[in-house]
Amino acid sequence: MDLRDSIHGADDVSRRAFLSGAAGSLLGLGAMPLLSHASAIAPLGAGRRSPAKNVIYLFMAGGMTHLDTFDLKPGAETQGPTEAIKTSGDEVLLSSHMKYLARHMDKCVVVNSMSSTQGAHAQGQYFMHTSYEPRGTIAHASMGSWVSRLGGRLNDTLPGYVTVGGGRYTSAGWMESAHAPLPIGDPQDGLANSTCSEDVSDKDFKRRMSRLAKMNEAFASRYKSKQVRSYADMYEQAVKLMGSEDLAAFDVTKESDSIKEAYGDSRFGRGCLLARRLVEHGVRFVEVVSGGWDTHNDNFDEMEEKLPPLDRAVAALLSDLDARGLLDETLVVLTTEFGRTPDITANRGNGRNHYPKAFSAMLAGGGVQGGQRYGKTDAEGREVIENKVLVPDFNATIAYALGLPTDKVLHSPSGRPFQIAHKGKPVTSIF
Amino acid sequence: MRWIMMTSFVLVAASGLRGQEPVDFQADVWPILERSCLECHRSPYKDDRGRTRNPKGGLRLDGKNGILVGGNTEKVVRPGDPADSLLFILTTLEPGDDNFMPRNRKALTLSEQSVLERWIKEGASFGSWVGTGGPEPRPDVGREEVEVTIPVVLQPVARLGEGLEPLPSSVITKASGGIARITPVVKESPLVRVAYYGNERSLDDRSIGALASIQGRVTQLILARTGITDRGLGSVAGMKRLTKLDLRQTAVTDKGLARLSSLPELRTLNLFGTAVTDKGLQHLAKIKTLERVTLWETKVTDEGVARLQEALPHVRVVRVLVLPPPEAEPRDGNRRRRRR
Repeated sequence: MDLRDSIHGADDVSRRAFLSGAAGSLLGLGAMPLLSHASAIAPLGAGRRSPAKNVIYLFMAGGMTHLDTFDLKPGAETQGPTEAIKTSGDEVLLSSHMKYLARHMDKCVVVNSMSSTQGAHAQGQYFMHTSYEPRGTIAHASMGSWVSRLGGRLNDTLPGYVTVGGGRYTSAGWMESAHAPLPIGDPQDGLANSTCSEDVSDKDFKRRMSRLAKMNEAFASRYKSKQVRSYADMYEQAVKLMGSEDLAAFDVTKESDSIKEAYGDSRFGRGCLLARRLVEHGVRFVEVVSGGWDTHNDNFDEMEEKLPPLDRAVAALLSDLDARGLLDETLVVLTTEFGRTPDITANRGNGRNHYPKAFSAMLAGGGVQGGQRYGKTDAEGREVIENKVLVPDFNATIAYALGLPTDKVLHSPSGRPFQIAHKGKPVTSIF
Repeated sequence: MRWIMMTSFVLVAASGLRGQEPVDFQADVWPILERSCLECHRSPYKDDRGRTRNPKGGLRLDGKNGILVGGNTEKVVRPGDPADSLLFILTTLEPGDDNFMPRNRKALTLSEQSVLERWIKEGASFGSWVGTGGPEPRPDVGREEVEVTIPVVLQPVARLGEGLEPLPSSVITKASGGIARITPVVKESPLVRVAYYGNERSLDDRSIGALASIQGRVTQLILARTGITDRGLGSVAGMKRLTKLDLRQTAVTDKGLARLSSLPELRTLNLFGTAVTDKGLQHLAKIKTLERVTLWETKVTDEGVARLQEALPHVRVVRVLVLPPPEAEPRDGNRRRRRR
């Protein structure tokens, strides 16, 4: 977080007080029903027991082809050389490169009717993460930050939102820095810069921290705002984490060889393993990014190479969470920014191009009723013909799984209203 | 700060005094735009020195079309919703804000702000006014607004919580003993979830006693990786509304499970990584409400599990971890990509 933001934000409190005061009395916002009492006793879908607590969000950056992964069209011309296999979910077919995941489809819901309005990577990833199209005048908050903000932390020592292996459009946006993601580059390395240099003794470190606090004292007492406090909080959080047992959660090398081998020796596999460890320790939202899905060329060779490590990692993750009794409480999401063209580009070497109109995503655990498909594309995977799920709807579904209020309005420091999942409508029938 | 509160008050008062006659765009709004906005936001024109001036941010406020279409990045007027309309938001910021409009000019007066706000709220009608050309408004591809109310409630919990009022926060603070996170299991539920993430080592057979004051309200209890032992489970036995108990990776044994057999509502029990044996499962067989038991990395046997399933046929037992086998040949991290 930029220091300038934080200082500039110092006047946000008064401005917000002004706006919310004015908005409240002028616009009747105060009377807006948030999560009304009446809704708290409404009935819920059969089998739904309790809201999930955590999310493991697996993001396939670059635009994962739907036809060659989760939306198989055997016999169609658009299918190309990809072969389909049956799975433990009666309704679901998968690519033959996903043989381990196929055994877990009874725990998964495949959404074949995803649809986005954004066909470029930056805009598409931004939209997927925030539910809002990029705009010039505001930075929106991504889902992980929303979940941290609305749901609160489960573990005070650990951040509410961690990203592993990238994630360029993950940001707390206009929200307080406390909800920004903690980025982990290489999962094998754990949390960078989390131990004190050997040259600094405990005593020196404490002395330095107290001196820092003293230097900040005057400023903090002059500007008693949430933003200034949050800056000091950030330091306090970091120091707390440095001395905490929970730091071990970031260390995947503590896992047994058989577990590590099962997740596979890929960066993404290690990332999934790290995600499981973090969830066990009460991190609410962990995002693991897998790159290189932008298969304009050699789509089929690329899938042969990319899918097996993905397959292994996700299959291991689902088994592992289940065996630890964590799958009920953990929603596993696998998604991407858009699909790829059903037509195969012959002139550019067997590739597929960007295709936001129809794509697929997967949900597992977190109370979903596995073994089913939701929504449909036509025989060639071109158009959504049933139960279209727009990007905000998908994110609203994640919020619903967590029991977070999609109708709750939060205001940015400049007074603009935002909602988790931007007025999307959750798909409730899959729970 | 005091000044701000006063303006806010004046604004409210001013709006309260106003009659209910609808705002007339041409008479009330247009003069404001003309005076404060048009210098920068109008169709391209030549200024005094003959230079072409293009509308800043692509926003033209000199015509109905321009106002409705908005700038390069977004709309500025959302009829009916001033709080989501930049024309209102940016002109009501404090001067000095990076986004303040009109930039480097005098702020709109409070009554002007109020006119804009009312005009948008009333549906942003232009009457017969069209103004200067401007781009054709694109059909609004925005989606119809959906009112979403979430019916997230646990049925059993809703029933279990009937007739109870949510706990006062003072009671919750005391019961937490500074180490537990106690939250309503769903918003506004009188029943709570208790967890010790981050403070696992501070929770032991003694400190769990702090929950006694709210024992009838605990419906989910996460004791994973804490210092709880069999003896501490005595405090759990009185939790008559407990539906979920997570004891993974604790020192709990068969003896502790004997204390749980009187829990009347227990549905989910996680014993992963404990020293529980078949003997412990015999105690569980008495809990007729059980639906899910996790037994991976315990000392139970096939026979013990079979007997439990016989006693409780609908219970789902997770006991094994089936992982993908190791890769046949280790992947080369730098395996070269086939590129054409």
